[in-house]
Amino acid sequence: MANRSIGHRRKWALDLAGRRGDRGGDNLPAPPGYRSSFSQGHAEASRQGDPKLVIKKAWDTALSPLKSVPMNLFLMFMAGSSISIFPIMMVGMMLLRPIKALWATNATFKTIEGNHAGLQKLIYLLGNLVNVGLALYKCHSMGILPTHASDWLAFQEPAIQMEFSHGDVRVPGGGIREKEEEDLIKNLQETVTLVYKEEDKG
Amino acid sequence: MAAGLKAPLSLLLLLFLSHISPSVGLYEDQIGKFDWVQQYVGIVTHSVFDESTVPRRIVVATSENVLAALATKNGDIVWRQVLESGENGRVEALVGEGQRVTSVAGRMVRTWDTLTAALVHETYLTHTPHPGLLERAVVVGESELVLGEVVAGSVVVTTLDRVSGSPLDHTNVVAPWISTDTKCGSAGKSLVCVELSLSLIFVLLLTAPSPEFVSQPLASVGLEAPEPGSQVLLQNVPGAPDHLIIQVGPGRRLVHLDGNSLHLVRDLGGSQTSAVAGGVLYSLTQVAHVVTLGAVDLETGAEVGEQGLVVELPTHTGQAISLYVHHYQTSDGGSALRALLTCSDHSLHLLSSAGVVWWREEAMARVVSVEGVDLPVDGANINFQDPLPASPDWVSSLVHRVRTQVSQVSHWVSLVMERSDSTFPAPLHTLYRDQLNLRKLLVLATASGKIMGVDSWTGEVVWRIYVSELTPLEGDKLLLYTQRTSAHFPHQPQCVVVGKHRETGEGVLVAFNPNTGEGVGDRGGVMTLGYTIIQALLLHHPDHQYLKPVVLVDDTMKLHVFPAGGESVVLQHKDSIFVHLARPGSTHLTGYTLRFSTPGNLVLREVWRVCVGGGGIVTGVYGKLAWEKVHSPGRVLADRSVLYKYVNPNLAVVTTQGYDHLNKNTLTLYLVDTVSGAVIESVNHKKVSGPIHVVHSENWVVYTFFNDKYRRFEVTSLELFEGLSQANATAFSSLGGRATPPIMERQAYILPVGIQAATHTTTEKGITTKFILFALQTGNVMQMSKWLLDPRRPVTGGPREEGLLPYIPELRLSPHDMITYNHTLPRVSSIFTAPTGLESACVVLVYGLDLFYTRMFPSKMFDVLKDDFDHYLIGGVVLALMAAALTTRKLAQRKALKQAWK
Repeated sequence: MANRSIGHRRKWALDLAGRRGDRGGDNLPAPPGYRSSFSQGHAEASRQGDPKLVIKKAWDTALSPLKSVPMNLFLMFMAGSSISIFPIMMVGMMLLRPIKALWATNATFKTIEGNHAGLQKLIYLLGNLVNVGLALYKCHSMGILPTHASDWLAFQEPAIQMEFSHGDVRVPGGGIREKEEEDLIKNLQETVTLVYKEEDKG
Repeated sequence: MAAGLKAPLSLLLLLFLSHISPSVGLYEDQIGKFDWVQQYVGIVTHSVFDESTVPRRIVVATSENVLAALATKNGDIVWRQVLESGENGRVEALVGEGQRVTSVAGRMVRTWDTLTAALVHETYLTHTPHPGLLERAVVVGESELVLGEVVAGSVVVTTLDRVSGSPLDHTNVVAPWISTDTKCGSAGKSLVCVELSLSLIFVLLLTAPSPEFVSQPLASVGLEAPEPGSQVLLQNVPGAPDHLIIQVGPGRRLVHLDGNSLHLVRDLGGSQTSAVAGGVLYSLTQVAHVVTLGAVDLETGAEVGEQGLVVELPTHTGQAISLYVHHYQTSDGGSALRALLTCSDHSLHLLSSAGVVWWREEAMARVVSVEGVDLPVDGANINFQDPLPASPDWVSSLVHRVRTQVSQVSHWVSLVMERSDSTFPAPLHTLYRDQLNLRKLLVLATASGKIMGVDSWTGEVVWRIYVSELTPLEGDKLLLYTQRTSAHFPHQPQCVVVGKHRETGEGVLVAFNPNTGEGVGDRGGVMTLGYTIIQALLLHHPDHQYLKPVVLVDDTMKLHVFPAGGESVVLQHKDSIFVHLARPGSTHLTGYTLRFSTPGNLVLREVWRVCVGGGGIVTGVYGKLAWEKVHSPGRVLADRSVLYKYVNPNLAVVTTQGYDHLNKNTLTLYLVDTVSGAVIESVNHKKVSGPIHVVHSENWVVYTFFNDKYRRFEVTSLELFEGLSQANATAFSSLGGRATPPIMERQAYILPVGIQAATHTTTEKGITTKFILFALQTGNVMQMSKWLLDPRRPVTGGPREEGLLPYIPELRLSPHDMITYNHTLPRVSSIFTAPTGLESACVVLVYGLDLFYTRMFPSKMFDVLKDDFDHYLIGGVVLALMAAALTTRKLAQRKALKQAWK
């Protein structure tokens, strides 16, 4: 197929009768000197040419997140635990990069084929997850993760009041009944104690 | 060495303190912008017209123990001297002597300069008042002072030297007929006593070398033998010291004292009060608001019609109580008259032939309780406040919302159109709420029975209600409650004042609309209740018309509900309503339930009784504000755990004061759950005395007292916490039972000055830091952050909580923290605070003898942009950036296209 297209384009002929509106890429002849298959041929040649290299490259991709772990650890150590713009930016980048990479896993491995692909994907995922974990740990140690009850305190609704109590010092005077009441209660208490005493005796 | 180190350390700390303490202060040009102060003198009891100084002034002594000079022209206070409070400062005699005036109050004889208010001379009388004193007569002579002290069974006459105050002579006149029912009064140099049981008048010439009582029958002055139980009234006649008015029942006679004898001058039946000026007797009669001064020549008894007066007093004025008349020479040589009139509503009027020259609302000097009412919203906003349909589904609520928004927008558009037509502001009389609800209507209930609505922006009285029969309950209390706020349009807001009847002592209830001052119901909203009130309480639960019922407890412990329809609300919630009452002077607090109420018969059934005696008696019960909101349920500690607050809405502080076994003053505070009767905590202080001021809010209590041992004022702060976990985060029940009792933190601080009153700031949502307002004895009102009184301030080392200062016992008073700046407020009785629509703002009214209003920003206006915030710059920058972003995007696109074509 490649040879045929090359051969076809080597013809020095321009089709000037092509209609203006017809912009379909296939119908248009390629500009002079353009070889669409040039780069394609290259990649195909290398892919087909060295399968070991392909596998090595794929393993490189799969292991790259894990390889960046020591670097991240060092960066985390350097960032310190103070909350200011640069440490926050660093931690943010550390957290965002592996998450972005996780999203783009399939895109990264689209070009990679082979029987190791499943394992490589898994390792790649794991590596990124380790990085996410590291970043979260850093956030935690910096105290910017809302993991304490105090972080959710502002959202707590006030408690519902079940009983309502009213009262104050009563207005003095005018309470002749109160005295009677007191006497009554005193009498009652005395009778109660008497009854108890009698019961004890009995 | 250590001391040398300490000094710079404390200095550093001080610097640190001064740097971070939230001092606000005020710029000079801000004075009077957000605050106003009104000065009063009280009910005038003595007055002297002073013609010697310019401008002319009237020197008055009042029931509030104030000596003041009022400008005759406009009634302004020229100067004011606040004397000692209580009996020691009550002015008993006021004598004008040229440019000087002499006052006798308690054991002090003072001479003042009327022009400069300077104290010219002061004498301390070396004479201890007799125990069991019933009445005291004072005769001020040229060089001596005669005191006639009436005690049961005798009269003690003491002559004192006016300059040195030392006693010269002492006589005891035995009068076995004098009892507590005997009425005595002084007139000129004599003491006059009326004993109804004997139908006799006794006269004692105090200045005589050997004083002796001379009796005379009541009939000799034309007074009939009185019916039992009739009232006797002895009234002095200003301007004529040797005359006296004796009133027995309806009979009213003017008598002239001549040494030991007295004879009838004139029958004054029908008149209310009289005064003499220039040999002419003026008698006042009042019909509604029209006052007639009838003039009679004292010598001849002939009517002097041309010197009389007919004046109409302002509405809402009571009956005339006392009158002072003064003659003066006008510039054209004629003679004119001024009359100073005090009425039963405590207002003070200066009358002349032209009418009322000026009048002062002296009822304001005795404000008993205050309530802040939201003003009604204006125009279309009212629709917004419309109650939603009973069962709002989301479609109808959306429609309602859209409709109100549209009407608001159209209203705004019409407003804008109108504004372009006329630039005049709306008239002042139509009070409407401002955007942030900073403007309030302050309802003031005064001891005179006058209720007033005051615009908080200007301090002007918007409306007045005078209820002549209303007087405070015992303990000087008027209960003022807001039953319905302005938020329930079209229902009008409603307030009630509960007091007692002046004569019968039974309960009186006044219901009114606080926006207009119109009474609600018959008789102008005044209801005479046929029973004696021991307490009135506002329920938390509103009825279907958003009206919170008031429950009145009578002396037979029966309950009455106002309005009567509120009974269904009480019955509906009877299981969750509890009442607690404590009689001052008793040793227990009693809790009642309404559970056993049936329709038509609301009863209080005792459920618990806490004996809080311990050698003392209950002096106060301090609950929390019913509507108080606590925003944060806990406090975040340094290790990011939460210390949960113990927020019990039913908690009350009960103070008891008494003596311990060593006869030392003790103060005990009990924190009592008023639903279950459980005593949560108690704190005991030995060797401390009052006055005690308690501020109770959220989960904390702050109280001040005087420490007898160290002779200093102290403030103690208590705070209650549940601990690091919460038993029940969604509901609080006092009966629920709790595994662990709350933790109490406490700390005490030293105050450099004494306190007259204390309260805390209140804001709408309770987010803003609480400040405590202390009215100091120096007359200033100081704000202090609760944070400075935090009982968790670390003493030594300890875990440092976020933002807590190390504990220093001395509290610093900064001039910046005085919210009254350079005003001095004497005799502050209480401070009222109310929230506004702005979370960071709080309005404050300090009342007592004076009124002072201001607004406070406890957390420094955190929710408001600064005045110097440049809206145009910020808006311009944002717009410019947006434009730049758009243009650069276009340019970038173009460039990319070009690049692609290359």
